[in-house]
Amino acid sequence: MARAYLLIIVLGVLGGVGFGAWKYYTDTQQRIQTLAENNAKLETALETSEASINALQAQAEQTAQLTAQLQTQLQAAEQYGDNLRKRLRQLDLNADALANPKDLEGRMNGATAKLWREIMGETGNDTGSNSAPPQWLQPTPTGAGDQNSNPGSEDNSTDGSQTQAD
Amino acid sequence: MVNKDNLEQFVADFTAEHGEFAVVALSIDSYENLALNIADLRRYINQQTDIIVYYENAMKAPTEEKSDGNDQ
Repeated sequence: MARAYLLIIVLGVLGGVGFGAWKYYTDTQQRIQTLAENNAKLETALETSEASINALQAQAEQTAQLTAQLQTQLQAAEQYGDNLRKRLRQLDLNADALANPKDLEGRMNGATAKLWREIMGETGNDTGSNSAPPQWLQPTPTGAGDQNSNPGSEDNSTDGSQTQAD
Repeated sequence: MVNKDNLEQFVADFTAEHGEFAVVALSIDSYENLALNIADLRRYINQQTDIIVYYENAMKAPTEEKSDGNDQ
């Protein structure tokens, strides 16, 4: 009788140990699966983060480059006005007007035609510097000078875009 | 360009062409101011163009910017 109880106890203990081992095994497998899934998610998140960082770095680099380029272009746009002020300081148009009004009128017309063509070219006109001067620059019976309003003959202009002396 | 020496000839030619003598005159100083104002307008137009091009390029993706070689 005692042996029977002992056998039952041993079987119970062995069954408990077996159940515990099975439970431990299944629980461990479940944890491994969960951790593997979490690891995959973290790897995906890491790749996304790295891609975002690279994109932001590239964007910042591009923005810095474009900003520097814009600053250069904005300063270049100031050049015409600066040259014109410098040129007007160098010239004495009153004296020129008294000495040779016809010549000064021709230079003014040439400078105006040159400026007009440049503005046309800068604002998208295809003909640009090859375009004909505007009608109001054509010679009139009372006008004295228009000899410099043709393309390529505006070298002695008074528009100040050229810094060299006449 | 009219000065004291050719004023009479200008008045005569102008009246012969237009009948009445009425003109819009511009002094040398006013001409210089006009030229400077037009230069300022030109600067403004060019700078606005540069800014528009800047934003157009900034809206492009960096890879697209590099691939099409557009550096305007």
